[in-house]
Amino acid sequence: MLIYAVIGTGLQINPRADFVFGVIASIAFAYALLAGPLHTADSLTFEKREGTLGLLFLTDLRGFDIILGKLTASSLQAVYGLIAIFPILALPLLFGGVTFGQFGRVVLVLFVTLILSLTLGVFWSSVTREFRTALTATLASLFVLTFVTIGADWFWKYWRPPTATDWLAALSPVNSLIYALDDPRRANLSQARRALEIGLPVQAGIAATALLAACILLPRCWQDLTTPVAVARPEGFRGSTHPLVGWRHVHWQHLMETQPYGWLVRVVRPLRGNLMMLLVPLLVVFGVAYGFSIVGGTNSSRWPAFMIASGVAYVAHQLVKFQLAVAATSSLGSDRSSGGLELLMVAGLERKDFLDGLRRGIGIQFRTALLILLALNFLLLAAMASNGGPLQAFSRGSSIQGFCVVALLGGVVALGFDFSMIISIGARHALRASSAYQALRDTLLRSLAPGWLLVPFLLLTGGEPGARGAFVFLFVSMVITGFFYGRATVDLDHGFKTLASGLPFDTDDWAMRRSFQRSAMTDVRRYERR
Amino acid sequence: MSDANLKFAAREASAPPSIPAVQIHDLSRTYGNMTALSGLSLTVNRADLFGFIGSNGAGKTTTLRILATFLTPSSGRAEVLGHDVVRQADRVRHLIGYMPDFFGVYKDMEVTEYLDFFGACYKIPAAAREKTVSDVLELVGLSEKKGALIGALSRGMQQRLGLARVLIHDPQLLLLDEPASGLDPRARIEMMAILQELQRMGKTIIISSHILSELQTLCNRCAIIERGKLIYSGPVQGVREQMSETRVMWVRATPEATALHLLQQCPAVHHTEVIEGRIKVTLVSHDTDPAILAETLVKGGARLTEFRDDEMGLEEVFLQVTKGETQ
Repeated sequence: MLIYAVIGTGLQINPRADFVFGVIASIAFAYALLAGPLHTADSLTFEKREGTLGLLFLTDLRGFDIILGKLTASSLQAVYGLIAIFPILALPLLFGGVTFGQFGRVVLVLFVTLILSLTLGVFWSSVTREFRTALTATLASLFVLTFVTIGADWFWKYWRPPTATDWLAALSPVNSLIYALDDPRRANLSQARRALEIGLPVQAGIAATALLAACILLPRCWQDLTTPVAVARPEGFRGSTHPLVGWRHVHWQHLMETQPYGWLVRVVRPLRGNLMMLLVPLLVVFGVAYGFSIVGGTNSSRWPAFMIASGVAYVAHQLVKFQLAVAATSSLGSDRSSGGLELLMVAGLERKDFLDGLRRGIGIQFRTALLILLALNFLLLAAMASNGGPLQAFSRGSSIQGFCVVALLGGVVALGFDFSMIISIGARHALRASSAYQALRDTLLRSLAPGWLLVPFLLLTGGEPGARGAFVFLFVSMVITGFFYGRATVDLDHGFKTLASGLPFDTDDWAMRRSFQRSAMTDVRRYERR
Repeated sequence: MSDANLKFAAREASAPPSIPAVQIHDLSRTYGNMTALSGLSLTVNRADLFGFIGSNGAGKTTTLRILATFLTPSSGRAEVLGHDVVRQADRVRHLIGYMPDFFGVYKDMEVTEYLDFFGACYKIPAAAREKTVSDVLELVGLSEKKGALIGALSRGMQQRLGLARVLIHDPQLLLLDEPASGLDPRARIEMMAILQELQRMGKTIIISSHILSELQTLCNRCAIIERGKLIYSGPVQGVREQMSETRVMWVRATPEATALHLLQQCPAVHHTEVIEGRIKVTLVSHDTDPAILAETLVKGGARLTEFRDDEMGLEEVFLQVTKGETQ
């Protein structure tokens, strides 16, 4: 990206350094925000599921010791990752145009953000039992703190004249980042300083509160759940006398008969509202911004509103795909670790039954979300096409219009591809990884990360990449993900049984042998443990 | 899994009884540099309750997993009811029921739901599943727990549920890896009773267990393996004769000194030892007739009050013939 910034853009030296600094800081910020949930959300839930947390409490350890120990152990990798970014972040200092003060402030903001995300991950891990629930709750909390607070602050100021109280925005790490990035020669220094002086301690305070709450709550909610969970029977249901079996059988009988594994994924491991918990706030923000983009007073107000709505739609796409990756990895992963996968294999289910069932089960669960995403894209296209719409200020055939059309239509096409690719990549890594976190991380790196990493290149084109830029962006990210999809398909086709039973070298295929070489000893150890 | 396979499986149930349930020829399996099985050859007949005995890491689970089609042998062959476990894995899966040494249950499911789900995996028609589930639950004594969540069942009940799952498709061969581990004495006795009932129903059962005293009373045949090699295979009652190099008799006679002297002079006796008022007599070989001892003592004027064979159990034989070495 730096090379591209130096030779690929026509910017002057100082603004270019400033811009590159901002892009790298934004990537580091996204890392700090996401590293927490990914590293810590399964730290305590895993121990609860395995029943090992109780063993720790039988010793002299207290909640405080366990929480701090877990936080330290799971955070080290994330902290090292962040520290590794700093030398790259410092490179724009050499170009000039970025001050040491800016650099120091950004580093401080990144550290506080990482600590906040890590502690929130530990908190939700301490009060929940399932990785998926903890992950979703942590992401939702971070989303509220980071973006909803900014939006709420904006609305507050919109309806009431701006006052000195920026307390709502002060909760948001992204607000701190914006002020930290401000050029001290241009920015209102006193405002920036005040924002950071209030914001950073407030965020650190939230992190400390989350940590304290986790220490207090963990000793109270680690016990095994032995009481059967009551499941509400749908209104007017008169089938079986037993609510759970009756409801599941009547509604999903066909699925069980045709694709038993799909039934297992859909019925026994439902999303339980995780997806909607993330999607609903986004839809609210989208609705408001979309409304402004249609009926806003002037062109100048409709265009930013349209951009916000588009940005929210993009985030919604990414969140749904993120949840798709979670669902794809968690089902096969938990079956593999519990040994259930072997029982299903000996019951006659084959690779195709598992993968088709996984697609079907997840497809049913995500059907509504996928339709919503399609609707978002088509709504945005409709807004563009409407007379007096947000893009009226731009001439027909302009680069912005071209970009929007290709990106929105391409997004629709990519949704179908991504659905299939994420599930296959997720299945491969669920069978190979040693933990839910590792499986999810590897799946995200191969399916969503290529697209995320290409976003800065789009920004580096000066904000006007045009239709060609959008096409290249979509094409390149799909080719990269497609490569990993192909690899996953080959692995699953040739070595599903080996992957599923966790044993090495159960194939004559040389590529598979090489592929398994690295994890062979781990697999042997796992086998011996069994 | 096709309908043809199902028909095939149904046909297998009436396959000629001359075909053994399991035939293993020179089977080997390695993991990298580690040899788990080395040239194992074994035959298990139909309707046998076959005990599979060995130390931890001896290769029992590897053998069972090869028979269950999870593992491909490095060399050698294994057949289940005449079908190769590698080339005809699909067919073999319909003929076997495999119960691993871990639960592999879905704790959020109910008992009937769990069995119904596996029934669907075996493509048992929905109409037939209800009765099948009810029957297997009754067989394993879980009828009253139909509506319970699996996570709320005790370990013993979960083991029984695992056995019910194994039986759901009415397999001919059951591969049970440590089915009684972790169970309390009552649950173990009940589990053994269920297995005997299944044997009476004509099922072939291969059971791997560390509780040798129970295997001794339960099984009609057994195999002992160590470091992946077969040490013994045959009837449980014959294990002592075949595996023990000598035969031991216990004698109580008066006067003791006279009896001891007479025995020491007898050419059939290898060694004598007085333990708690009884004389432990080790004969020179298994083929030696113990009646010679009685005759010698009576002729020598000793009064015989106790004369019996040493009832060496499976555990003692196991300890005697194995060195406790693992891979």
